[in-house]
Amino acid sequence: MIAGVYQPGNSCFHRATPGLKLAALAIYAVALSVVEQIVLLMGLSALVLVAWQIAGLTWAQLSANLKLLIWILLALFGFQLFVAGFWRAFDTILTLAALVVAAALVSHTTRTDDMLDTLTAAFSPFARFGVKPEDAAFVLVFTVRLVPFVSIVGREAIDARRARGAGRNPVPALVPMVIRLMRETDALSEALVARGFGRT
Amino acid sequence: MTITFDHVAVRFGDLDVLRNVSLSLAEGRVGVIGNNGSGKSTFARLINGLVLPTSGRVTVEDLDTRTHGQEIRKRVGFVFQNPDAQIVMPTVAEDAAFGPRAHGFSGDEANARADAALALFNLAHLKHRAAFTLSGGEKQSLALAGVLALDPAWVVFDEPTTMLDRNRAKAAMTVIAGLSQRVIVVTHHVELLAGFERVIVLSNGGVVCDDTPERAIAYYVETLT
Repeated sequence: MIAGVYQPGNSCFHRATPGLKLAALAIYAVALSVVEQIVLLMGLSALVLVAWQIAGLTWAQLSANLKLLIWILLALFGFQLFVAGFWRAFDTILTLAALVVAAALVSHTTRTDDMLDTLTAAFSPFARFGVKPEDAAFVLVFTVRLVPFVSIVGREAIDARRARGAGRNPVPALVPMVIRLMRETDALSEALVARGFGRT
Repeated sequence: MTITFDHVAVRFGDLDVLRNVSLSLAEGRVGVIGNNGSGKSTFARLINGLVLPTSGRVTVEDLDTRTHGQEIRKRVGFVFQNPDAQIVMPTVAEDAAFGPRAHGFSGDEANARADAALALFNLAHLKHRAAFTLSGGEKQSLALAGVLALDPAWVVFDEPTTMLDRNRAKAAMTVIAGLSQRVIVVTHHVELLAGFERVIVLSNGGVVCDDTPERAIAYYVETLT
């Protein structure tokens, strides 16, 4: 199961325009950040789960998206628990998780081509300042492709350490992971140029 | 329909990777062989402007790679050794359509080209699959489909079989043999070049033999291995 990849379907979310979905996502993010009562926050979080169901997406897909974040959520929870107490920690990770699920809902129900067209149109007013709308849009969309890529490289780095007798601690695997990511991104950028991305 | 190297040299820092290479390529099937570090991958990358010469010039149908890179990459497809590095979009269909879109085709035209290319490799039923979940052979096919979606005149393969097992390597070479495009294959597996028209042997950054496959491979085997 790969996070962020378009899943064909015919729900109202699939039929909605990418612009509408991005606007709704932005409003949802603002709502999550301004709500202070924990009950309201839980209600808002539950709302995205209802939307997930309506979109016809599965719980396995939901779990795949959250799995990518699990270490960050745990680290944030621990830090906030230490400095601000349980409810603040709970509030922080619930907000972040709900936002990630909402963003995943948008990317699971939107074709990359449609998203590219929408973002290209959104960036076009900035062309007068030297921004290349197609390139800016592609960079944003390409990030989705990198999420599973980074996750796979990270998992392989940890597995390589474990195969040689090390424990499950992910921290020592960071250096080989970063080195490999740098190499792989070099290869990816070469492939992008070979396939026509860029203007030279 | 000619690719020309005119006194081409490539230098990375203090390292001379290619030295004074001059030749023209017009045949339908050209092989480039050499040991590791001989400069053959750089030779391949010069053809569609992924690497630019330090001196001299490379032209494709009279277009200079320095000034017409984008135009040349439309005519010369490049298939990398590792298909994972070549797949840049989340799903199979989106990845196959990436090249046409990047070269300015409309969404519908890009999708139509992608569908046709995927059908060539029996990948049409996988079009909505996440590209990362494909098997090694399927990824290799997708990488080639993504290149053929642009219908290039030339396809350059950089070590197309190095990461494949024997059966997949054979299958890949069958696909390459069946292409209507002109093909340049960079490899150190000389058995892959049966039926080619010309084979170039590189060593230490220079062309040391440029002949029929039989003679060039014999030279390579006797002198360099």
